Amino acid sequence: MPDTEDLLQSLANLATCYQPRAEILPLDTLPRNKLIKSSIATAARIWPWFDECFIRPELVETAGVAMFRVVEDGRLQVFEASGAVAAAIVGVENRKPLAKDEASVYQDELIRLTERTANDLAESRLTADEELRFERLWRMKAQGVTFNGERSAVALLQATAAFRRYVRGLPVLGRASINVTLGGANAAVTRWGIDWRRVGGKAIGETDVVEPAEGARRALADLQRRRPERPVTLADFKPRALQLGYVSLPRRQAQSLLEPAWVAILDPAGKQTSMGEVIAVPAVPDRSEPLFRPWRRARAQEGRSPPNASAG
Amino acid sequence: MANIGIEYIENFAAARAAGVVESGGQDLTYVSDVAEGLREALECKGHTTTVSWIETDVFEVDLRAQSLGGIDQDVADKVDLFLISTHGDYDGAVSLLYNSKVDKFLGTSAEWRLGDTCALEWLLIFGCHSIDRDRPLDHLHIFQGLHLFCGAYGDMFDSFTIDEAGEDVGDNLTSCDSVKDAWCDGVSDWFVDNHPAVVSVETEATYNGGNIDWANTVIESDHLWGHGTTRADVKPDKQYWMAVVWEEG
Repeated sequence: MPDTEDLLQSLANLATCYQPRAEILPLDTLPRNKLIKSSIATAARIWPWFDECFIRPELVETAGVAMFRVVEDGRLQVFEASGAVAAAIVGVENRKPLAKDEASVYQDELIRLTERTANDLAESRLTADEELRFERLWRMKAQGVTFNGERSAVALLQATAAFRRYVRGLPVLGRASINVTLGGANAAVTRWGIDWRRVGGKAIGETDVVEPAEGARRALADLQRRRPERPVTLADFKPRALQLGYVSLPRRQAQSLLEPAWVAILDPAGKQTSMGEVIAVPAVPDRSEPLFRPWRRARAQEGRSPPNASAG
Repeated sequence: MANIGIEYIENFAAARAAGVVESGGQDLTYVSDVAEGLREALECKGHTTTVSWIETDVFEVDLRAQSLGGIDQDVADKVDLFLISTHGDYDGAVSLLYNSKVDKFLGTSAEWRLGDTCALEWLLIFGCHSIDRDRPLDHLHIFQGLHLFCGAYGDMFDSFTIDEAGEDVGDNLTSCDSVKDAWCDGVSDWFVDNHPAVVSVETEATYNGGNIDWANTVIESDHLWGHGTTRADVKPDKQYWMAVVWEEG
């Protein structure tokens, strides 16, 4: 019978990128006008036809996101708190599959096609202490099945390459640092995104980093809180990864520092009604509480009466 | 404009105490933000939330067909777009976990018939394994006018990286993305594998002997009311094939 210690050891054994000390780096966000100007310039690097003649500011701006409408049902979103940018062109031509039969597409070719765009997106952001590495290729596929069981070939609709930023050897974990999507019959760049909080100067300090076992313990302490009745074990979750890195919070959130953190990824074990968990905890010695908690308030209140009509 | 319904559950102590789940069923952290984020993103573009229940006020009968003893006509099948966030599992049908027993702690999609009142077009489930991508026909009975069923073909993650997934889906929906693209892009952080998947029913016109005209399918071209072309319901007498789209890494 597995116990909590087995789960902790399994998670700690997966640790990657561990180093005993790491720097704490200040972050800097551009003023709104500069950020928007810079984002439009970035878009014009990817789509040369893209300039201010084609864009229309959205009248409704929400939660610190400036939205601009572009031709071909396109958009450019600028996330003011983080400096993140996202763009998409979703016109009719881009709804055609990359390939009607995925078997005809070479993965390496897709990666190669996205790398140039990713490098263009990163170019003005990369500093001497940073690098960009390809991480994973995601593919959106489709298939049809008739009611008599006839199946079509599996089509490849889109492919999205995710790239990860590394700062002084440590990954910046969270949403992909850069993502580039190819779509349409001509494998055009249809979407891209940048989640890249700028380092605003020299390190403000250096800190000890807690060892993997302590990182795993902190993450599992948070997991245990979510099911307090009995110890969480390997029968509940299968550890997938424990990474040391810096964490970039969601794009609408402000953040002032990059500090080392352990990020644990756990899959539900076996077949059960559960969700996977990603838990980020500080890797500094003196704080262990998870790095980011939800912040919205529920708009609904409990107190509903059960219906009378149910058949039971 | 569209009528929106949202339901979410983060606390499952009652279900666990009742022994409904042997393992799993842990409390969730970020799915309330997912649901409330979607609500905010759509409301600020003029859409209206007309159904909103949380925690122990979310009932299994809310999705169950009226003909099978449920009250879907007053909840899920009363709106145009309905999102529920909870734990899911799949075994020939999707099971959703509830934290109150009205009538059951575990609801089953075997009892869903959606869109028959010409209301619900889009069902969104933020939870694990709601779609069997290898057996899309298992979901056929749900489509009584429903356009798309957006869910996952494997595990989804309760993660700080998906905290803004609801807003992202909502922003996508109101920015000319098809509903399928809005879902698949919005719930993807390109970090952990959220296994997004979407299922639809389609007419014979686009099957084309297996050489599918994907660009004109419902799954590829259906948009939220007011943000692009919203396709007509494909009622049972016009249904010819099912399409499934999924994202894998």
